[in-house]
Amino acid sequence: MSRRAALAGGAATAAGFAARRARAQAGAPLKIGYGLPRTGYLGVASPVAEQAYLLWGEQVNAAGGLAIAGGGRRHVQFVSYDDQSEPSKTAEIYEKLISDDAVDLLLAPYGTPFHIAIAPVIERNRFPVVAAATLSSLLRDMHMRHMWFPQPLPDAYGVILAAFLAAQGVKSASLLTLQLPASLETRKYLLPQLSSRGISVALDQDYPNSTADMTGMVSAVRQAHADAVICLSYPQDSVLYVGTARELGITTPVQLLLIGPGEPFFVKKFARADLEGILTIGEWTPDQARWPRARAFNDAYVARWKEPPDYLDSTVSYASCEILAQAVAQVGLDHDAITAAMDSMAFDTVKGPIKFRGVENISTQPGLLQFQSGALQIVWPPDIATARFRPKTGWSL
Amino acid sequence: MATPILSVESVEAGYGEVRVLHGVSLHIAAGGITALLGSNGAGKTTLLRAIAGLLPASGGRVAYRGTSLHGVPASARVDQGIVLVPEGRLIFGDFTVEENLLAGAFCARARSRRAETLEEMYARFPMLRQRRRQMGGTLSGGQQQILAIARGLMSRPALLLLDEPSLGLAPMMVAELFAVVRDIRDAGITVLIVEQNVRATLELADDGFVLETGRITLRGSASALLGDDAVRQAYLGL
Amino acid sequence: MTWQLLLSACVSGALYAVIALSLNLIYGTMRLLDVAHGEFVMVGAFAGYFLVTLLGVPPVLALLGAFALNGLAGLVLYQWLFAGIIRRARSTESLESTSLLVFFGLSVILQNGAALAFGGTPRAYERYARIVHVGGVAITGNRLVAMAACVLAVVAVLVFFARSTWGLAIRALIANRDAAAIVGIDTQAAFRLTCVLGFGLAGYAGAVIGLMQPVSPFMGGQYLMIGFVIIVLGGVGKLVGSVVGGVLIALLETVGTQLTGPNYRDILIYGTFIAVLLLRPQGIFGRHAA
Ligand SMILES: Nc1ncnc2c1ncn2[C@@H]1O[C@H](COP(=O)(O)OP(=O)(O)OP(=O)(O)O)[C@@H](O)[C@H]1O
Ligand SMILES: [Mg+2]
Repeated sequence: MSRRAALAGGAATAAGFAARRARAQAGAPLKIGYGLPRTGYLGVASPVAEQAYLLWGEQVNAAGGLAIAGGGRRHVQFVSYDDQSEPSKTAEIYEKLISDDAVDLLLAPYGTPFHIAIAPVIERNRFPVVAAATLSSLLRDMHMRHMWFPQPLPDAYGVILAAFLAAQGVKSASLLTLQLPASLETRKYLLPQLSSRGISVALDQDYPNSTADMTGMVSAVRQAHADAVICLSYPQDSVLYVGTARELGITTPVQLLLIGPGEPFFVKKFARADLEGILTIGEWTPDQARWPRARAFNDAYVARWKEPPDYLDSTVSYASCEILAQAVAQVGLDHDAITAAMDSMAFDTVKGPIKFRGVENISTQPGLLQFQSGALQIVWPPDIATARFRPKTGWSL
Repeated sequence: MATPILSVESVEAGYGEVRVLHGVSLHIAAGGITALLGSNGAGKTTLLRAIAGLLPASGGRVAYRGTSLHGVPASARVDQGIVLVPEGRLIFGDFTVEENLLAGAFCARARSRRAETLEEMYARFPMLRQRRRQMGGTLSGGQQQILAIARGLMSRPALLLLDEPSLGLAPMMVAELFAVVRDIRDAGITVLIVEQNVRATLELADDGFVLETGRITLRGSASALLGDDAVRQAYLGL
Repeated sequence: MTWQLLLSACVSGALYAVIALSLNLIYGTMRLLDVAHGEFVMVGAFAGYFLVTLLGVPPVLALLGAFALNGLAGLVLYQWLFAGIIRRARSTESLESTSLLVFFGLSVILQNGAALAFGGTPRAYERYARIVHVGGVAITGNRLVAMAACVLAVVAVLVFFARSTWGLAIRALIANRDAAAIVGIDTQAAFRLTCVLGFGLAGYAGAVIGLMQPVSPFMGGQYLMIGFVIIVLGGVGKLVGSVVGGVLIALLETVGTQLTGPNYRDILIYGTFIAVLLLRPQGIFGRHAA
């Protein structure tokens, strides 16, 4: 960016501040901005996040607006753009949201590369953003000061996954890894955990995003005869895995898919008997009675969108709104005050209590979910479990 | 005089900005063979394409049996009975001989009698029957020319436009070809033929026209043209 | 295990053949550079999905429904859009570049339209889910149905083009547009029919995919790529080439990656593609332009 453009941007920001103050007094709606991939390769994945944002906004407005410290409520109004699944566009969008649209608050983009892309923008503008749909430890290691992560990170999942496998007496595991960030990172953190628990890796195969047939790979899984199959997959190949594993009769008692089973379409694609016993990552279900907001959120989401929320992305996106709202209710709209509040406050969300230390959520325990009688139950770790793990007993005929 | 089967009146045509035909007029009576002569680049092919509807005429009028063909697409002209056997033959090299012939009987009028016409063609050209399953592209030049003519006849035309059928053929094949053209005339089909082989053509034809740089410069009975000094000098090398 | 792989290859091969055939009809016959073909597949997939889930149509009939809907859309698009583009084009090159832009626009409209109308999230239904044993090989019923549906479609299309008058006419148009006009083929009518068949088949293929996999507005891209790779392999305008090319790509994808590794999929497919481009630019089944 040229210096002139930068100065112009600064001027626009200053003008934005002034305008914002004026509007606040007039009780104008509160502008909340975000960019999401509505088109491009992530267009298929992001609606579960946006639907959570929209639901939250509607609920806030129905309740008379967002409560702001110092009194008063203001309706929220979203300003959003399509980043076309291109991280560079996301950076531009957030730049524009801050300087041109002069939004009061920002919500997170979708996916790890997009969170990374906006990091310099929000750091430079000292604009607080609660992250949402991202599964990456890279971001934490960037030492950001204005972004916080409600979702547990891949290294944490690596620890509990290995602990879970050890608890089931698993001695060897077959690993299939999709070559996309969340999968690769999870594998990176899982491997040392497995070896420290004495679990051998019988098969370690990665595969490209373009994979359209898994017969060969799943055959190799069958020949490896491991006690567990860990398929670090995304939704599309999760479907492929289940179809192929069923055809090839993979009867391993522990079969885990990284991303997919928590998405609404997954349940419709397979018979209950085939879903039964499949594991995935996640620590949320509407049945977790200790988090009373979970069920209410689930039901409101179903009523609004005619489909259940995604157990990972919808819930964390909604929780990110709740966190921001609670901070604003406590300290108002000043960005530095919100940033300080993130460090000190404890939040109550649909994912349970959340507290940040640095950028990391230290309250939420990462967990594992399993299909039991057609619904996902938390089966690990034991202290948040809603059901006990049941070994997968094969497939329907 | 009876209505000519084909009337070309002051036709102008060309390619893009380039005008090739500068007001060509000719009339052809039904039933005979008419020769169209002219040196290279005179516009003979252009005229035939304009008659067949493959090239729009930018001026003048083409009428078939007294009715204007203005705006009538090429496919409909075939349906009405005008068919062109083009320069360079344009047979379908990847089609079998039989498929080439069947493609010729596409128009509605011919389609219903397709099997019968095919049998007639095989009877007339036994070579085609022998090679019916062979790919068109594998035939010799002379065989391809016969195939192109037979394909044209498959549409059961009333007016056959032949553009340099003898081009590139061995002398024996040329003689056979001219015999075929005579047979076609004897079967009652009107023929308009463009040929470099001027003497043989005029000996066969009933009438003739000479086209030079887009204009008709001579017309008359074939025997008169054969005796004309200008024709003898320009085309017969005498 | 080999048989399992070969059967899997047959399932994808049959699907790829239908997609490549349909694209080859549009591109080979009219020289319309249809980069929205994946989106037509997607529209068919949604048509099939809604016919099955909302109207309770049996999936096999939904395939025909998707064919009919897409074919009708193809016809309307031809009358309203493509005919004009073809008429105004000065040369094949200019037709290709104009149509590329038009279809690019169509693909954006279809993708975003579908995302707006149906939402971006994937949708799926479960039918014919029983495992069937074919000579010791286990295969999910829906994949068997999908394969049978594709084989039937391929056979029907090839027989139509080999035997019927209109099939011959379209082949004549593919071979030589000038010669086809000379023998009296009604180009407009043949193009209309080609659009019905080409876009209809794309929809049919989409509905077949919906039998096996989730459908979403963004599913089309991969099938467009596969389609173009196959028609270059098999030869532009060569219908049998598309079928053989489809099976070849599927074999590379399943058996080839089994022999080398999953990461070699793209190398195998695009490597073969580039090798063919270098060694036989006219495609395996194509002839040099005469
Ligand atoms: N497709 C074309 N585009 C542009 N100009 C053309 C085209 N075809 C022919 N011409 C030009 O039009 C003129 C007449 O060509 P045409 O083919 O009608 O002549 P012809 O009498 O058939 O000659 P020949 O005896 O060589 O076949 C020539 O000057 C030729 O260069
Ligand atoms: Mg000529």
